[in-house]
Amino acid sequence: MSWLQEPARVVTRTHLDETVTVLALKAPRIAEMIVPGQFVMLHPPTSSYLPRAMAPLSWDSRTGILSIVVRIVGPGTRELQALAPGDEVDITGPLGTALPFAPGPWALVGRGVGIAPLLPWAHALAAANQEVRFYLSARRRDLLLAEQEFRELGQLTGHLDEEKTGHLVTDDLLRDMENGWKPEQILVCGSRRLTEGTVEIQRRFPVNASVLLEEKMACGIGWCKGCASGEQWALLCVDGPTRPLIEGVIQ
Amino acid sequence: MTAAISLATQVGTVSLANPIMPASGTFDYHSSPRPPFDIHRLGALVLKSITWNPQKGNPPPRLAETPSGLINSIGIPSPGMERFLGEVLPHYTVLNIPLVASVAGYTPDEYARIAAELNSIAAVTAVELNLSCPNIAYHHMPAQDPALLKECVAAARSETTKPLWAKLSPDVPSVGAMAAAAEASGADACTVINTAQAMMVNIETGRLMIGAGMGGLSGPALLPIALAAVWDVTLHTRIPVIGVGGIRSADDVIAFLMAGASAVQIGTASFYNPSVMVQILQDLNTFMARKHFHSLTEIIGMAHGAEIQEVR
Ligand SMILES: Cc1cc2nc3c(=O)[nH]c(=O)nc-3n(C[C@H](O)[C@H](O)[C@H](O)COP(=O)(O)OP(=O)(O)OC[C@H]3O[C@@H](n4cnc5c(N)ncnc54)[C@H](O)[C@@H]3O)c2cc1C
Ligand SMILES: Cc1cc2nc3c(=O)[nH]c(=O)nc-3n(C[C@H](O)[C@H](O)[C@H](O)COP(=O)(O)O)c2cc1C
Ligand code: FES
Repeated sequence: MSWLQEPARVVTRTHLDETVTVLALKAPRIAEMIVPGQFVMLHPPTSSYLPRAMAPLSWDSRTGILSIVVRIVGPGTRELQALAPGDEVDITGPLGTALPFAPGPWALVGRGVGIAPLLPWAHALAAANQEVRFYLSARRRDLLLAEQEFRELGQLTGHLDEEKTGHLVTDDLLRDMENGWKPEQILVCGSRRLTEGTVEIQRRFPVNASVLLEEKMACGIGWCKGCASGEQWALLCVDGPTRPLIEGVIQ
Repeated sequence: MTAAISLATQVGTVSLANPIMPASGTFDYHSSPRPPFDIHRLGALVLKSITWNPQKGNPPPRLAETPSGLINSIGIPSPGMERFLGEVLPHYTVLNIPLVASVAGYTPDEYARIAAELNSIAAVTAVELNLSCPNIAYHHMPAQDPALLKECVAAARSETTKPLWAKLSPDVPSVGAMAAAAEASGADACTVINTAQAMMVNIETGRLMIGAGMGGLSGPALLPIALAAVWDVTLHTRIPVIGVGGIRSADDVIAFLMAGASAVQIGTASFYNPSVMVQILQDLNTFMARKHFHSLTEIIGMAHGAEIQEVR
């Protein structure tokens, strides 16, 4: 694995609502190298903040475009969301460890912007003829990212908070497993409650599970040792962000 | 024809092709994918501090960002001396670049033992004593206690013939006085400065932002403090100074050289731009050409002026 720095340009910007924005970035070299499970660091050239870690929703090595979903949680993501078409943004990547292939069936569980890194993996699994089902939730229908694309790749169980049922998509996964569906692998991203729900499932059924974790990162490239997480304090930017499920609970 | 520009510099007996090197703990060439630039362009490599016994470092969260700075509480995760020699160092000894090993001890004896092990390794050019890590559980750090500092430097000195660089803390009344103590105990140079003790509160949770509570502040906020410390050390000692703290650009490097540093280290700026050190080298050449300088000796200490030089 190797990484590089590329001055990228914003091609399009789509605000899904006041807090969630999709940026399409032209970064041909990184789009060529990145594989599912990896992420990039984004840094507007004039920003006084450290680069921010982002796991792309999709990329296309022919057009050289990476799509990134940014949710505003603070000043760094606010700067990224404000980038306009034509603006430059420095991008470092691809970073982190590729998702390891294992035979399915797979259940991909995600919420909000945590859905983004699941899409490239869904495509990879579908291309390898693995059965995959999706259990995705969001605040509103338009934030259920790439819903149609997921539906084309496998069975999707979606849940929207506006329905206010107080129920988690891991309940749906559990129900399917009680009814006889036997996934070999579960991958979770985007919510502590979904991680806990998956731990509950793992208590009842023998299934491998991993989680995409987040931790504050300064460098993203293994130099600062700042992104330690879980039991062994593994560096998420080098030996992650995908980690065994249990580390998501410790965090 | 214009005369060639040289960025070569001396830190005591150590000759460097240029004054730019990474600060300890902010650059790696072994555990992660290799950087996309030729590291042989740097003046030297400084390794992450090593401890005698293996240790995991501090609990997460280890980082908090502040305006113009970064607070870290990494706590020196270290494979310990044995695995360092067997697994880490071999990645560096094959390189053709001056190598500075950084040593962190909990007792003077640990500094001595690590220095003794490093003494027999030809590829190690110099040994930097990290006397100033705010993130390990000393009752206080050697760089804050003149007696303990002297003991640690003298202990290492007795075990090595390699050039010894003492890395000092800004959290003292006079960095210069501590440098003088290091010089008196056999240090060949001082690295000035380590991070400044710092903390942040998460006002949403009412808890501290850093897992271990306190951390050390690095980045642009540290630059003027580090410059003042370099200046102070040049007034108190005759040994060379390596300036470090908040450097982001060639202009920042020039300021350190003019204040009296013979070389500089770059830490946090590499997190914003991993190839910043290579960029700075290019920009240094541009600055030298624009100002018609040919050698760093024309710049180093320039801000002291003739009168201050005489006072020394
Ligand atoms: C591998 C990886 C991939 C990511 N992918 C995406 C993505 O595709 N889209 C996206 O919108 N975000 C993603 N993130 C999260 C994103 O990096 C952070 O939200 C961002 O760094 C926050 O910066 P800020 O300045 O806006 O907020 P800050 O001021 O840094 O933080 C605001 C609040 O969020 C918390 N916070 C900040 N960073 C993190 C973090 N990394 N983990 C947990 N809490 C945090 C802080 O404690 C604080 O309460 C990813 C993170 C990682 C580690
Ligand atoms: C993440 C991080 C880790 C560090 N680790 C070490 C270390 O192991 N040993 C050491 O002597 N200094 C360490 N430092 C201090 C730096 O070497 C340097 O003195 C300080 O960061 C100031 O320089 P800067 O502003 O350029 O970063 C560390 C700094 C940071 C930010
Ligand atoms: S973010 Fe710096 S080591 Fe992971």
